[in-house]
Amino acid sequence: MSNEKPVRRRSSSNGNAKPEGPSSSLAREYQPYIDAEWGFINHWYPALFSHELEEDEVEGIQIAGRQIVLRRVDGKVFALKDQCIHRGVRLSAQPMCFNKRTISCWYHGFTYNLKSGNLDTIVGNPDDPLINTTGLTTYPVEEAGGIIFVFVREDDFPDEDVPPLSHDLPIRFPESSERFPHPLWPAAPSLLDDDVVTLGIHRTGEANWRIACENGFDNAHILIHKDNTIVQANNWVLPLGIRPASDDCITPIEDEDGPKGLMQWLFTDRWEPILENKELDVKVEGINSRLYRTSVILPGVLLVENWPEENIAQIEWYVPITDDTYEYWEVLVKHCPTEQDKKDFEYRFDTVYQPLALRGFNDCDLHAREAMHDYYADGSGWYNEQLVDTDVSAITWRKLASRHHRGIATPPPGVQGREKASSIRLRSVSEGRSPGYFVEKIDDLNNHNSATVRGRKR
Amino acid sequence: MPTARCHFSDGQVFDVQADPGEAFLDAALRAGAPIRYQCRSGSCLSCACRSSAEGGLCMRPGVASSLLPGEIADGRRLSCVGQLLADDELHFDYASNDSGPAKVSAFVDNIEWMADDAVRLRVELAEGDWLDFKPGQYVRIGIPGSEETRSYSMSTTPAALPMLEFMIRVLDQGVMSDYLRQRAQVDDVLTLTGPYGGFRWDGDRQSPQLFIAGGTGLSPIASILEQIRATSGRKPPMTLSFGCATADNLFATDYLQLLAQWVPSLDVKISVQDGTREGALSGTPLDAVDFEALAPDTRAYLCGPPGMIQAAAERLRAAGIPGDQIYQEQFTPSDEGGEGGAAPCP
Repeated sequence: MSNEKPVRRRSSSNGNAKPEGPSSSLAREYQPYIDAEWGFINHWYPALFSHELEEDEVEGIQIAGRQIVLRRVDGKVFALKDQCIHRGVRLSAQPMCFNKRTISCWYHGFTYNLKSGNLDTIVGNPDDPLINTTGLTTYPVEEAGGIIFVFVREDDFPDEDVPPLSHDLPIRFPESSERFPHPLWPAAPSLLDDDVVTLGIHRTGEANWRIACENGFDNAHILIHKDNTIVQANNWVLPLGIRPASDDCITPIEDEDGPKGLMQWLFTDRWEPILENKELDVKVEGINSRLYRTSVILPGVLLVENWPEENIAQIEWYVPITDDTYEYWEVLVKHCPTEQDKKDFEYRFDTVYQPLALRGFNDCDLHAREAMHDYYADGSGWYNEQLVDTDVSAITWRKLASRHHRGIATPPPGVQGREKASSIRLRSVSEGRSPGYFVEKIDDLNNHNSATVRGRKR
Repeated sequence: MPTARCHFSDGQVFDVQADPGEAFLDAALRAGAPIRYQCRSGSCLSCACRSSAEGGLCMRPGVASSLLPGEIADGRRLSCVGQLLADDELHFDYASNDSGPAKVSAFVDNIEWMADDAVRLRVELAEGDWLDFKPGQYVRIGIPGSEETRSYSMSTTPAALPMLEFMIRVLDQGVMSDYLRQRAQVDDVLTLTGPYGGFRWDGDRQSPQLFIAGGTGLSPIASILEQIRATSGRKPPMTLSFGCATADNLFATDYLQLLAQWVPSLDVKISVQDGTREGALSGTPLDAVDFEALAPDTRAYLCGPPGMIQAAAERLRAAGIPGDQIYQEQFTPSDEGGEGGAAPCP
């Protein structure tokens, strides 16, 4: 035989290729969670505040490795995969829309139907046989409580299987009040309530989304907040730590037809607040109680009831952008039945909550997440970490997330942040723009030095 | 109408009659010729072939294409912007059936004794080799130092390629059993031929799915369960009933418990026939199934020893499950000396 070829090992052969399924001797109870470096897919995520997408505006973002372009037409928001099928260009980099039905790629004019994603025409090639035979993935959109939510899905996720938005949002009160009584504070408002007002911010954090998410409901992490201004100014009693004191300190939330996650019974006898460490002579000196409770729901949304003040709830998302960046959402929700209530809430948000809570208090969390990221960045941290009893919260979450996620995101080729050191990325960084959530838009076609990110010029 | 005879590299031939006025590719696809294509407009070169007859398949006049003038003079043509003016013989330099059996080499990566008579064998395809398959299918493995082959179903899915795994029952005697017990080492080279077999998930995501696996019959079923786990969208309600003869034979229980934890719609039952094991039921995998309670649209997947499959199929039919909803993969073909993890239905 003349075509006999030598048999060689694959050059890419490596011992760390993760064997799938039965082989995985490393398989821990939450291996799927460990695999979800780029996040969980086929879930609802917040994409933009409603006010960030005006009528006829186009914006580009990235969630779980999926580039997404959004356009608002006649008030309604449409979302498509932001990667032209032709040569992979991001439509959002230079939005081109000739009518209210479509968006065109500014490079070669491939024109997609906003509603169906269908390739309706090609600007300079209207008779091409490719037209009407293919298109872009569409992402279902819902707007609630002043936030645009997008169902970020795999290309073949069936329309009929898209769950309601409420399945990926925190549990609601008072409908859950009997199941999770809260005698010490009023029922937490929900994004889906009628007269609710949502105020908040979102910004990009540099860490894996799981590190960020676990920080949010880690009952030992509150030590980092000991010296925060809002705590000291209010003389709050924020314990040094809160340790589990009972086997029912956490209740999994696994209803067939609803959100999946967990509730922590904080400030009941199931958790023990630690106010003093005699060995170190450290004591919490505050005198005003600041009771709160945390629950977390897939794909990673935190509800902090009764925080930062009565009648308010703080909701957070840690939306994966890449495997080392996430969009950190912090919103406060409050019932404001009258215009005056709304004005008062906005005033207090601007003067107190935003500077002292969402920034001051939670900036501390950004520091802490960054500090943890490198340890987990190559994946080994998940196997080397030394856990203690307060980590019951994180581990329960990892197990529930492994069970109830709707898919593990893998980075599709050709997206921002998959290649960590591309020349374009390096240029952006050298010009002072961190890798982020929003697309870099071409501001002036006649001037190459004109990229903008949400209006921030280069 | 002129006819073009399309030859593929595997010797397959398709006769295509085409009207000179139409795109040849359209006529060829209509005739079932598996020509590769993408742009359908003369630019991507996917549908290129070589014409043998002057004046046969010609490039449509006035249509631009990516073929260079010299290539056209050389007989190269594009099916999508070609028109068939006279009979021709066309040659395509790829096989007509990409998923047909291939013969490839693979290196042994790991040999794990899962139980006293069961091994999990992990291999990696050699450089330049590839083997596509559907979860549930099997390959013939050539045993080093022997002319013989044995058939085994993959327990992993194509997503794990170039890695493949097999759950293999080791007998007291047999070429594969002797090899695994006495000689097998990491970095050994095995020859794999395949894939074969029609045992596979039918893709139904609405109806309840019942999987019954005896011993290493778990292998193709594990592959199918992993496939369903990775499927986009709602998962069907599933039951896996897995059993081994004795407690010492039992394997993969940790994995199955994890799988049940990770797939909320999967219920796993583990049985041993003789002896007891914590967390396992006593009896056969059939004993663990309540056949009377099965929904009439249940899909059943059976893999294991012939006796088990036969009994399961009878119980299913008696419970009103139509035969076309029962999929089976029979074990231990007679020509393999009692070895082999899978074989086509008799």
